[in-house]
Amino acid sequence: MSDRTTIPFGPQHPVLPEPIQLKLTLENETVKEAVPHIGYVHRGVEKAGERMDYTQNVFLVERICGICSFIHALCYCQGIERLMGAEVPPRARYLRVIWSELHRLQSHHLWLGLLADALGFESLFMEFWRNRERLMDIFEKTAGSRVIISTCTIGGVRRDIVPEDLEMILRELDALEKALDVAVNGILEDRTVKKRLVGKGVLPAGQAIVLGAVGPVLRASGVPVDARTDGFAAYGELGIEPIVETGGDSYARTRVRARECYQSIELVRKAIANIPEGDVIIRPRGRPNGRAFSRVEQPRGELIYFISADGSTRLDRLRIRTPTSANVPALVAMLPGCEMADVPVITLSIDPCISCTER
Amino acid sequence: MTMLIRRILGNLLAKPATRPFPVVSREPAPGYRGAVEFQQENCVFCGACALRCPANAIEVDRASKVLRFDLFRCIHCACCAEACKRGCVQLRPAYHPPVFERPEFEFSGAPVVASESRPAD
Amino acid sequence: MSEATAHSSAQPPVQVPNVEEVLLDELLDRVAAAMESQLRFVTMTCLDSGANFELYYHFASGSHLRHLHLVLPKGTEVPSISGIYFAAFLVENEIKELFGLPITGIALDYHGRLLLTEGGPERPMLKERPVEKRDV
Repeated sequence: MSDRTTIPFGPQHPVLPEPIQLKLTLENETVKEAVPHIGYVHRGVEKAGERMDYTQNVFLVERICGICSFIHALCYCQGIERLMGAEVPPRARYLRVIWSELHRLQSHHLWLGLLADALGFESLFMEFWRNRERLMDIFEKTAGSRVIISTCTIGGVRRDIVPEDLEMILRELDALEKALDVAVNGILEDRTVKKRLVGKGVLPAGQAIVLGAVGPVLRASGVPVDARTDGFAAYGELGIEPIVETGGDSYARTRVRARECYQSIELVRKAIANIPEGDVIIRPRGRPNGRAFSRVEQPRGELIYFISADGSTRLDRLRIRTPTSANVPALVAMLPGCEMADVPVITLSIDPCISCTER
Repeated sequence: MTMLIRRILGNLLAKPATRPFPVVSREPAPGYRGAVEFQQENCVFCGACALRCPANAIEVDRASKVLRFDLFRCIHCACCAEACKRGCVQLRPAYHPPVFERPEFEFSGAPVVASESRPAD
Repeated sequence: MSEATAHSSAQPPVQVPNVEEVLLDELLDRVAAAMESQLRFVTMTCLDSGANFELYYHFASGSHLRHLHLVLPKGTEVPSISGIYFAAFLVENEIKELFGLPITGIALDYHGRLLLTEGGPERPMLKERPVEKRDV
């Protein structure tokens, strides 16, 4: 095949700040094959999880991903709580929902901004990131840190949110919702943006299931799977309906994330309205013993922890499956047939987090 | 698009969203886990903080009564502050100024209360 | 490990629900059956338990989870399931690399260079590799 060219896309690329390399085989401008290469940021977190005390691991797993640190800690803590038979106080479960949803909101804001930036729509990028700053300030005020908030711990949460701060969150969310209307309208209704997204990187529902896609990628193909429907933390009491789009293309994935922003705002409001009084932490007795499988919904999709413990202070095995590693095979299937110029946008549309993937 | 154009025009007339930093600086929120401070007077060198620290930033030698703290390893999780029964470690809502070299922090000496207290767990 | 058992509490170890034991020669048939019934491949987990490797194959349909559990002595070759579930290629490469478990016929084989680089540690996830508390 003389007219085939192989182009390395990444690991350094102007529109994609994630260290993934895609070896693209092109025929003229059309992608024929894509082979992913990772391994630039492997840190051995799973091995490190066997090194430390199981309570200290909370801080380790939070550092797998800076954008959804709280949800990693939540997944880990729920696994350990299952192993120790610990019952988390109701108020802590509601606080976990509040912080999780705020994390989802800020992650989706970050992604929507990055998407606008990848399309060359810089003012919209600024708009999303300015709005995101409100969320970061909420974290700083309620949790004591902006990015890695370190509030989730085994048996509950380390901090309570006082009523005045809950009021503050509601006020901020009202303002955020207004600002979000403008920004989301700018990305979903704009003609140029639609031209770059509609029909790009189509993933049919059947293929999405077979390839093991998760999160917004799966839901944008019309499959209503959301780990939050399992009812962990307080999601069972609050009720949640997965957000589904049927397009299966980059535009549908953008729509899912934009609509999830509103869903998260509603969930936080509901959680604040229904939050019970009481303790926020219990100290579970004993040590984790046995094997547990823990699953939560991260902004990027389903996050899995498999924990094996033998009753000592250190874990026997800590297996982490992050959503992006489940979405990479789907990405490999989406790319063939698309134009070279669309590769950055399609790659971005799965919301890749390679540091998560490699751990 | 019209919504966004209105917004862009509004931005032209509005003040910038950012602060003119060196002139106006931002105070961290109360409760921010910032600068780590040790109160030497009350420390009994029990080692509870060092035991709980996930980053191994604190080293306590109980025999010779020396506490060493490595700021570059610290992840500001406030585990030490929670572990210390005597309230000797605190995280103040303030930023650490940037430094060029690894700051050395160490203190030692006979404690005010001479009795050795063991960590709770 | 011996210290661990001495410390363990009176409660019996917690088990993962919906785990089915599977033998090596029926593995591919069972995975193909999972594919037939439209289960979504979630991931695989490898555990090093001394003389054996333990492999879990995790599947999901909606919020229902199912796991296949395969125990095999070290050194035994395992056929890849990436011919059935293409999505397994990443995790199979990872297990092959980090544990040295010989998985044969992976759809996209990175030959030990997915996560690790030349001159890096070899099979770091094995239990015999030291885990020190202070090694940073």
